[in-house]
Amino acid sequence: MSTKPKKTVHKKKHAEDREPGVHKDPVPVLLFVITLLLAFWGMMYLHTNAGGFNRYVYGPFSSYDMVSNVQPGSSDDPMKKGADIYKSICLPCHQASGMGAPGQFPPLIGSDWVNVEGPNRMLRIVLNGLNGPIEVNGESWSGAMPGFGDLIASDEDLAAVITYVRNSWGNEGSACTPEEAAAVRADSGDRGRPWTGPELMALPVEVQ
Amino acid sequence: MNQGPLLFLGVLCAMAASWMGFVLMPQVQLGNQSTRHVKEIGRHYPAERGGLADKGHDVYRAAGCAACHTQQVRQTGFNFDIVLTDAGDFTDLVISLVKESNSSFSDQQAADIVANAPRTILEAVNQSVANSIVRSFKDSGAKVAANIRPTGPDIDRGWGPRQTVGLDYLFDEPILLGNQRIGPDLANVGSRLTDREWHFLHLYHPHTVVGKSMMPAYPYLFETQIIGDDPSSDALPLAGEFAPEEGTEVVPTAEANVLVDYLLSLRISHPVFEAPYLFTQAEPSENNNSETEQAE
Repeated sequence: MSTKPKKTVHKKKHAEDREPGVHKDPVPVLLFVITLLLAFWGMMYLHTNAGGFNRYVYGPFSSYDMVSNVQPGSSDDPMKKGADIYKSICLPCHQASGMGAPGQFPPLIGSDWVNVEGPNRMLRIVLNGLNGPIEVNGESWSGAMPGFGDLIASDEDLAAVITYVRNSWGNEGSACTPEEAAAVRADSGDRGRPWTGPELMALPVEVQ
Repeated sequence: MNQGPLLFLGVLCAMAASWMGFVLMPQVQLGNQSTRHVKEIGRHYPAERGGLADKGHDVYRAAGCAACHTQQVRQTGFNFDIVLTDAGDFTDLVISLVKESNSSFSDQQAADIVANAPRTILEAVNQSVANSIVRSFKDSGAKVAANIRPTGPDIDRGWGPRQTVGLDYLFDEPILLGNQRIGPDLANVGSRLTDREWHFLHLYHPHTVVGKSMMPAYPYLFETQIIGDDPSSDALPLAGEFAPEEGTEVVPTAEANVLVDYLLSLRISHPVFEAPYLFTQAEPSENNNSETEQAE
């Protein structure tokens, strides 16, 4: 009986003396499993609800395609829609007549960049812009056109304005489909700088 | 603390992960936006606010409006209205298809719809139903359109025709989203309440125009002055308990003017790509008027 208090005192003293520290005790496997499951659930949640982190996708929509498909008036005449877009974006430089401005902005009317089998190069120019010397109908031009990929956000609008340019003022090109526009937009998605004449001439005229 | 570096690394990782999620990713996703051509209104959107409306933004901020008013309309879902836009040549076939799409139509009603296209066949159906109906008309020679319609409590309250998106706030600095709805949402107030005088009266004392309003009055945005030779044309038409003393009138100060300019500039009255709906020019004259007023 008389030794008991002594023992406790001894124990306490020992506990106080011990230096606190981090020890390499084994972590329960269950904790790892729960953490991994939570991370997996989080990623699945983002996969289904984050809209691919696309800036054009807000809830309740879940993907860019979904937003693109429900745009109103999708049965509209592309020539009419294209004319509207041309007026607000292209007209200041290329003019209502499609003639451009001598020495500054090359013509679209009768141009050998426009009257070709496919809209591949045109789409790329509109999306990312064009910089440096090019030849149009044997004449050389040097200028800079900015890209309008952000401004013309929907593939249908992009296809419409290309179709409009390819079929106005006596131009005779095939219509550009929204699918072609989407394919080229996806292909040149992260380019971020204007094209140059030689780069474009190396590409096929038709959308692959 | 014999594992200092390990702890530091753990804290760093946790902070870096949340910084990436809350700051970097949204910046990559939503930063670097520019104005965009919106075909429904035939101009670029959003337009930069005029100088006065921009000053009004500061008054709005200083008066604490954002403490009770939000500027964000939410959309929880969407559905479709099916419209027969063009009946085509095969009338009998199209009539039977219209009846098939909406079984509540009688023969006569269906025939009327086909004869008077464009007419609405069905309202508020979900996307799969809309798609199947559009598909059923595919080879009939008739044209049907499925027009998307945003839905949600905010839209039912009439606070806006669509949800607000990042683009709407492009020229707001700082963005005053607000987080409490003690008063109604103001994202589209410039389209809902277009009368300048109403706004002045409402700011001077909300009870002059809204009987049960719990909004505080802002008399310091107005001046009571002695009427000179002629009454001011800006004087508020106050009567009854709100009327000022005999021989005086209440006129808005410059601050009240710019605040109302700002309120009238708050508009989400047309679709954008991110929040589509069918645009029918419901209030063209009013919108144009207030726009030219601001331009002047």
